Amino acid sequence: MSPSGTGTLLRLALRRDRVLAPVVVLLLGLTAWSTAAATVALYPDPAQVTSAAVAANASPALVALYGPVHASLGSLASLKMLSTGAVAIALAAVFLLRRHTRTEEETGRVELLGAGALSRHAPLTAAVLHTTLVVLLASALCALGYAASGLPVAGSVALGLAWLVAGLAFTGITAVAVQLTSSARTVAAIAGGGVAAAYLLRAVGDAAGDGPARVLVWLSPLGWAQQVRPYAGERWWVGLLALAFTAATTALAYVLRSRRDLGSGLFADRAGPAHTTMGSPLALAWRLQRSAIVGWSLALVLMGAVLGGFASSAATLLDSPQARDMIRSLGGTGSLTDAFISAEFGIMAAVVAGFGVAAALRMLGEETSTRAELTLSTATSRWSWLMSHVGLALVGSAGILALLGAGAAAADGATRGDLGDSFARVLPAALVQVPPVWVVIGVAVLLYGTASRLAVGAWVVLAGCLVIGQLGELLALPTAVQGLSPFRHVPMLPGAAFDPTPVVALVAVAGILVVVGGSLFRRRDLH
Amino acid sequence: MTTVIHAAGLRKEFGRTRALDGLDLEVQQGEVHGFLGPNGSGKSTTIRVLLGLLRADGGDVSLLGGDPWSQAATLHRRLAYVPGDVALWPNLTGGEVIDLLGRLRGQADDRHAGGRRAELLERFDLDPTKKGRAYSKGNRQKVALVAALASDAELLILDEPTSGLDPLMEEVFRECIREVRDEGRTVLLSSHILSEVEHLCERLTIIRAGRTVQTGSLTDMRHLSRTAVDVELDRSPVALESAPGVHDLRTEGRRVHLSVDPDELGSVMNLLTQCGIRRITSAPPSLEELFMDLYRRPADTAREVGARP
Repeated sequence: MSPSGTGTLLRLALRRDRVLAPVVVLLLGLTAWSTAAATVALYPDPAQVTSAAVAANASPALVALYGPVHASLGSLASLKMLSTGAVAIALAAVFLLRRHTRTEEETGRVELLGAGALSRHAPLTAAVLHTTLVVLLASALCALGYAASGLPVAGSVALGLAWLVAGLAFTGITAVAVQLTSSARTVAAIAGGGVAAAYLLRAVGDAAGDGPARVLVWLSPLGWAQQVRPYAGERWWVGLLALAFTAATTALAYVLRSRRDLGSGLFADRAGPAHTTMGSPLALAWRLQRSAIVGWSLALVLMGAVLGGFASSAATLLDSPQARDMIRSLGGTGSLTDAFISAEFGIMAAVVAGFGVAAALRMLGEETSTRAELTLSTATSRWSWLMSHVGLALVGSAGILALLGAGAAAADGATRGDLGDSFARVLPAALVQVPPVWVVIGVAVLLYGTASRLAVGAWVVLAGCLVIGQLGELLALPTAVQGLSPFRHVPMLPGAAFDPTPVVALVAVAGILVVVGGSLFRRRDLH
Repeated sequence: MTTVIHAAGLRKEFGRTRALDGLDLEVQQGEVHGFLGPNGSGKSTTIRVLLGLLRADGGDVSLLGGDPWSQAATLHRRLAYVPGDVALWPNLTGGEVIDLLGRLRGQADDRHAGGRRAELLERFDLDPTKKGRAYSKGNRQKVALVAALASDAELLILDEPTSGLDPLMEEVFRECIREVRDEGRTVLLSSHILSEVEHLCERLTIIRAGRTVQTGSLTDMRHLSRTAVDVELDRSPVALESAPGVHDLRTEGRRVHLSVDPDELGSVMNLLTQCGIRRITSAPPSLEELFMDLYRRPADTAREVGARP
């Protein structure tokens, strides 16, 4: 492996990601930081820590979702960061590595560079180094945040190591995945599926308690992250295991790379149909988005089932005066179960808005790739082209939220033995989140319609909503600032009374944003 | 004859760059019109204005008797477009794209179009079952070409359509364009290679830096097809300066560079043969040389060629 060109490519990657990489690092790091501070404030009394840990471990659903809690404040505070945080960093690694390898090959940019003095392995080496750097910085920030919140330094460093374990392992897995297929989307499906499988293995293993299925945890890189055991007798050697795994997978990736041509995958593309019945911009948009919509639907209905399954046991875990205060400060007025569902749906709504923005901004990808030019050179009007994509984003996000609600209602109903009541309470709680999601999509359409270069601003807006929703109360942001997030205006169902005014208003705002954005799009140049 | 494309004084600016600076273009019904210019001269920008993808900052433009900006979707039923760099959907096959573009154009899939589609796939040697990402640049271009040629559009707008095709396919392409012309349809063919349009086009418009430098029939531009000759002789040449049809003569000892009018090529070759030819290369003048030639002369005479009957 000659390093020829690796340094240049690494500098290019850093320059391309000069905004993206710091945002990823800061978002992950600061989320960890704020979670640590919030949990430490929640349990001032060591006795509460013990009782919360006992309560958490008593619920198999909760153990499956987050893993077991050890009886220390640090363990309780790092519960979410060790499970969902590790998933987030794994996904970041998948995304970054793919971005700088297969996506570059698919667009033909590597070919452009390959003509220069560049060794065959340089793009992979540079991408692995770049991803490692981002993962390392996020992990370091996480460790720093936990230590700064007054938790033991050794445990905090171990938590950072756990993140590093998850990030590096999936860097290696993705490095292999990008060699297999010529499609960047399929890479995302393989590596993303790997993250899901790792999560599932860990969940099943953890839920097994001391049973024989416990060993499954060790088959999962996310399980390894947890087995570093921050704040509960740190096992530093797990870091070496992960390092060996990463080295082995990366080495495999180099071997596979030597056996394939640039631009192709190890598995050849299958031939497809020579004819199609597609004949409208909507049919095309559906064809481009359907796998994403199906994937999201499956993931969210499962997520709903998990949330619904332990909604009632979660109430036990959160049963401390401080937790009650916190739930109440978030607006939950009814029972803790209701407040829990409402809060979780609020978070999931922001995630679904991510789908909505990505679906609407498919238009941006179509425009920059000049495929939009091809479509719009036909009798397809700009308005119908735009509305096909936007309509799919609006209907798709509503459908996905409905599935989330249905999954949660079914699981909650099965637990409590009253399906009818669960559907009547839980499904509307999910559907009430549709209007704010539509507003975010509307903002994306407005920005895209104004100018294509502004479109990425929709992600900034969504991140802002997320920060307000998750940290608004903790940071004591002024009400006016918090009111900027459309998610702040929906009735906190179930529990709170249903007030139609804000819901109708949000739908109207979304409609106006889409219409104005669409009209602006019809008036601007296409690039 | 009906005017299919009319543009006069077209202007378009991107920020501080002036892409079109008073461009004129006139295409008549039933002709194959060559649209020539070096890279970055504004060919694609003009085409994108004609397709209603860009809005002109100034000047008049009409396409098939309508306004390309406000009536884009309606006018597009009557035309087919092949971009210079064809991007396809990675997960759609070539055949799917051809069908899709035909239907989006509002074309009924009757048996005639179906037969033409199959025939074109055969002639261009294109596999319609491959996914978009698996095609080479040339094959992506073929997908768009088949989609355009299989349509019954009365106007074809082709932006450097052969830039990815090999010589064999270029010949197939030329045949197809001749057939289209024989059916009485109109073609606007942009290129930066003079020889490419020479074979197909009766009339040309040459642009540079967003302006029309010259427009007219090929016969009017006879002088454009001078042959550049680079020759090494046994003896120093004599009487070349005064020979008719010789231009741009440069002599470096026994090595001679010159360009020759096509009508005088035979007599000049005779002169050279008398001096004993050791090595000879000849080439049609590159577009850049033509432009330099055009720009050496005053702008008004350059423009007048097109006005001559």
